[in-house]
Amino acid sequence: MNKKNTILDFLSHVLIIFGITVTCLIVFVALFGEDAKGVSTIFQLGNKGIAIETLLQYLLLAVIITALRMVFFTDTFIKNASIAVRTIAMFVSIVFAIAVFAAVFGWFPVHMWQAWLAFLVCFAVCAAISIVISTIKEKSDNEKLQTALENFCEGEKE
Amino acid sequence: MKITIDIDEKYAETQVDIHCRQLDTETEKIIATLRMLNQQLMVSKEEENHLLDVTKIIYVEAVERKTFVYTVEDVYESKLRLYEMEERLCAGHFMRISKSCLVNLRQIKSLRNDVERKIRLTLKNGEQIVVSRQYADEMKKRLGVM
Repeated sequence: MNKKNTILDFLSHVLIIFGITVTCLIVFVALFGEDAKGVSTIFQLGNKGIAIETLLQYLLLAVIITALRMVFFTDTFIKNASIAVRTIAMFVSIVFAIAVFAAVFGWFPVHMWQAWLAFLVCFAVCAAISIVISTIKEKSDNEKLQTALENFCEGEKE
Repeated sequence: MKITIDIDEKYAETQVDIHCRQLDTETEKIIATLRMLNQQLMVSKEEENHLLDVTKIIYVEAVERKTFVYTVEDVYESKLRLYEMEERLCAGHFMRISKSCLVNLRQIKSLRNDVERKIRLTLKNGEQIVVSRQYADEMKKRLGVM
């Protein structure tokens, strides 16, 4: 892949992640914006909208997540690791990045252990589901490939 | 499929004739196997020329305008360019897996999906090589997965 395609690929992934997270954010702002107004900087405008600084924070997070994806899901830096291991490493890095953002930008009250617990539980559940699904899919796809190879070699022998 | 074998001293050399209604996958496989039989390739190692049975080749790799032929025991060099190798070998059990590599499908021990829609192959000599995204779908088609 040439350099131009790599940059376009990177930008398209950033915009996809940004688009999805902002869409989810719009729903949360519309539903809980007024109640969470004083608790989180994300909801500082209540249900009236999303502040530009929050959007920029999300854009920066999308850039970081895309960079992490390039680290863990290409063989540029990690040559030989299973998809499950890459997924786990990616999720651990993302949770760390989000925790830093939450602390720095006041996404939720950092002194409240309940807020951290809720964040970690939500993220752990999503990560676990994603890892289990990707592991099952990877195993099933690999078995299909291996069976196809064995059938091919058997067919050639006959 | 009907197989007729006619053994007679009048024949100077062995000849195989195939009579078929159409050229289907099974017939193509028979032709490919026949073509691979006794097919040899002139390769060199330490300035000595060798005739190498193509079934012993695990993979062929082009590195800096040179073509290297890998078997379980040895690495040879060939004067043929990779595209010429492809023309000769890919009618049989070989296929291109990247811009610089051809692999003998019968020398693959195991394979698994890798990142970026690539396929990682473990060969019978224990080496691992990667099928690039460009050729991964073609390999799946060849193996009948797609």
